[in-house]
Amino acid sequence: MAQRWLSDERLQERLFQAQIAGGPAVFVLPRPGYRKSYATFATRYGSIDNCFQLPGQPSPVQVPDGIAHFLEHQMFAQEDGDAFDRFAALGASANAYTSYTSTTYLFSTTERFDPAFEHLLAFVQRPHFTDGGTDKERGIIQQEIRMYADNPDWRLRQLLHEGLYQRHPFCIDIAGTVKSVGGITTGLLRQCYDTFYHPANMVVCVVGDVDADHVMELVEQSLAAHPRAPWSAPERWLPDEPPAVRRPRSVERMSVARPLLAVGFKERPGRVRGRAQLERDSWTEVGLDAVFGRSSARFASWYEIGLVDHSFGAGYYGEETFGLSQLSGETDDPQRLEEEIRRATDEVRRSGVPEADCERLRRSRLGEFLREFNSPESLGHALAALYFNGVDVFAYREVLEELTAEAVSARLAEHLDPERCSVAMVLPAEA
Amino acid sequence: MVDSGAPEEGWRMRRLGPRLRLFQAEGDRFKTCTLRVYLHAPLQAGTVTATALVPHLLGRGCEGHPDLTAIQRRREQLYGASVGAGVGKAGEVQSVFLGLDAVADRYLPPGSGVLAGAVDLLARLLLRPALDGEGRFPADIVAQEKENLGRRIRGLLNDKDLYANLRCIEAMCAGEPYALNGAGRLADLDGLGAAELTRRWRDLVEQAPIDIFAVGGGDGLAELVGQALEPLAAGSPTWPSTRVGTAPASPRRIEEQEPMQQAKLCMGYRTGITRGHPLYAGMLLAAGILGGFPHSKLFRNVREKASLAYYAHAHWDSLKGVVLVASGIEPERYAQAEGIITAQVEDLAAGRFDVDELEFTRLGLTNGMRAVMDSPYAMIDAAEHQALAGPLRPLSQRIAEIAAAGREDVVAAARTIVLDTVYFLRGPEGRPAAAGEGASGGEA
Repeated sequence: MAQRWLSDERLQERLFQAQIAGGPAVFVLPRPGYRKSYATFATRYGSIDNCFQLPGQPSPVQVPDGIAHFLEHQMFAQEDGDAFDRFAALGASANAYTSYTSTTYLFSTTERFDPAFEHLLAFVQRPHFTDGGTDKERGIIQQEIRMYADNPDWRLRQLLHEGLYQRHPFCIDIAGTVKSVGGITTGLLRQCYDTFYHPANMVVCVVGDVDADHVMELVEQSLAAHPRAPWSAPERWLPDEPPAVRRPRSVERMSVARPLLAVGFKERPGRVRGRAQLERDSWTEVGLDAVFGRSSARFASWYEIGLVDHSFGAGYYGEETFGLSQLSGETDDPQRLEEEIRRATDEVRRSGVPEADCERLRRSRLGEFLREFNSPESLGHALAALYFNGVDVFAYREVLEELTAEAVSARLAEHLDPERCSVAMVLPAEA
Repeated sequence: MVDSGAPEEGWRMRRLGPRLRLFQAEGDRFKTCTLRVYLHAPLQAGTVTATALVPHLLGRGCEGHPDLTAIQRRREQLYGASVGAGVGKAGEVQSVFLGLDAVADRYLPPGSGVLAGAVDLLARLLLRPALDGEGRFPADIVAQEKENLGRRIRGLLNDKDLYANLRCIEAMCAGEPYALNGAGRLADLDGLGAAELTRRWRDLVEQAPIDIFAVGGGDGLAELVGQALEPLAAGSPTWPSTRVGTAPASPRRIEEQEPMQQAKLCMGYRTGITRGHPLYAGMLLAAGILGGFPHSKLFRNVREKASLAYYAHAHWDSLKGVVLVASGIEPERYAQAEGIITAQVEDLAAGRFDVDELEFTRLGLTNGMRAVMDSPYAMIDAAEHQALAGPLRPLSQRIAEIAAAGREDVVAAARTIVLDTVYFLRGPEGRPAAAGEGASGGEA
């Protein structure tokens, strides 16, 4: 077992990190003076892991869309009742969420951390699948899918992902469809659990006023109580994603007061991990802020003519195998806004981002990074996500400090490529 | 300088003037100083929309930073300090607020002076906005912000959960100020001009009772804020309050249609209990048992047992004495959902809840109250709400009240809950196909 303390004097922060042999990575970030402790137990298994092959199997298995999210729901059904009950009895608040690349179980509590933490570790290692439970959960998940189908921002994002990506499972909704979850069975849930919920594929993060050695003891005890055969890592199959988009434009009508527009740029094919990923993300974010952010001349001129309002924003989201920039907002004139965005991206690809803008936005991002340390929830989330992507939590400050206008300009010139652009619109339903 | 004791663990109250109170809590565990200035006004039809517009006008320019771009660039220079204005509603009080959230100077290079810079920017936005030659908000900016507010109000339709809740409250409290949305009314916009909006801003600055809440900022903060906001110190204010209403003899029923897949069922109840009532703790527990947690009756019975909804929860507004139950359901199963919700409220009032339901809720509530102390924004939200209803009480006292409340208090509180309005929002008959797939009915 390897373990160490990392520290950052400027941030006045220390981070404990350990890798248990054949087991999970463990992170502890002390928050002296906080009443709440926050713990997560996450597996590197998300909605894009829908095709995999175990060593010795003749061919890969393709599972129904939405199964990682379904499994997340189903994990709370335990042999002795609902896993939420034990948290509630301890006064802890529990939850879980599924992303494209991971599934996270979590709780926070202001008292009796130990039993709640033991429960978190135990229930995730002790699933209880029954056909009755699967059938009941299916109905709830189908309601959840319908609820999101009525959410215009969600639909806009989904349309954009589908327009940008042709084959990568990132273009499929995390929850799947009403139809695909109909095909999920107890046997498939168990198969996915066995494949991906192995401690060696997982990470434990604790943020709070807790002792790191004690956390390690509790983790070791729990692993000993739930023995598993050594992990055989599955091969995760991803289709070859072509560089081009699926379609240049997607339009849907629904009950909205006015049109929503999103312009997206997809990442080039390939894998990006570690510090390179952090650089890619921060250069893109600072660049988008400079071109489209609240302090840009463009935003002000669009705002003053009523083309955009405060709903307009530009952001980047990237993981190891996919990523996109999304520029979106409500507007009365989506055609005009799309033209203006295209013109702005052409300009920035030619002329780059001014040094002064980068300097100011670097400062601003640094302040935002510091403010993140106020929130145990966002820290817990970030620790696991950074670990899965091979990134050190304190590296962001260095990457920001080393950021240059040349790097930002070059990144935008490469990324804001009209060939890798797709547009999505949600328009008001016709009367 | 301190003329009041320590009314809330961590909160110290100082009077900076007859209508200006500063509540400050120590914030060494945080990396920031967070501060909010609330200017309170009665929620009323005559001023609701003008008041809602004021913060948007204040964000458009001020002395030294004449436009949006300049203000934003100043914020970025201050290490991304968030400084801005907004509007909110608590009970029948509408408040314009100016917020500030800045990285504490001890984490920044020496001489950064971020806190002083951010307080200065906040004071400029509130007290020295950019005005035209006649001392009014410029006409073009007024026109743009009226347009934007109109869009935001129309855009409420996009979030069907929120929209259903607002429509339910509007129907339920028709004729009471509480029916008004703090974001304002579409119909008022045409009649509002620069002169009236400038007057509304001046009235607020010259007359409104003002509460400032700050987490962090250290010993120098009171002086810094006191000097920057000195013009707010004078004047004698009237504190706005909230009136409790009663339910009609038989419940109102409203059904509306919008193109949508899921339906929203909103049930509005009245209870005479508000903050300060002897059954306050009993009512907190009752609302929690009904629908505040994953172990609550609504979640268990509407969602888990009947697979009927993805969400079903209850919210008690402790200033107005209104309980709102909200759920997202299959439109065909409307009657079943209403029946199950009604049965949960009846069970509560009849004392049909077990020890676990009571004790889990007690633990969940106290856990939530303690956890508030770990977030500057949550601390300020909770304290602002409390301060509108009376003096701040220490956390330990509030937790002790919850610990002391018994089953009989919960039952007595639950018996005051009376159904007032059933609001149902649904798609037209013959639901459109789900996005990206063939139509597929929900299964039983």
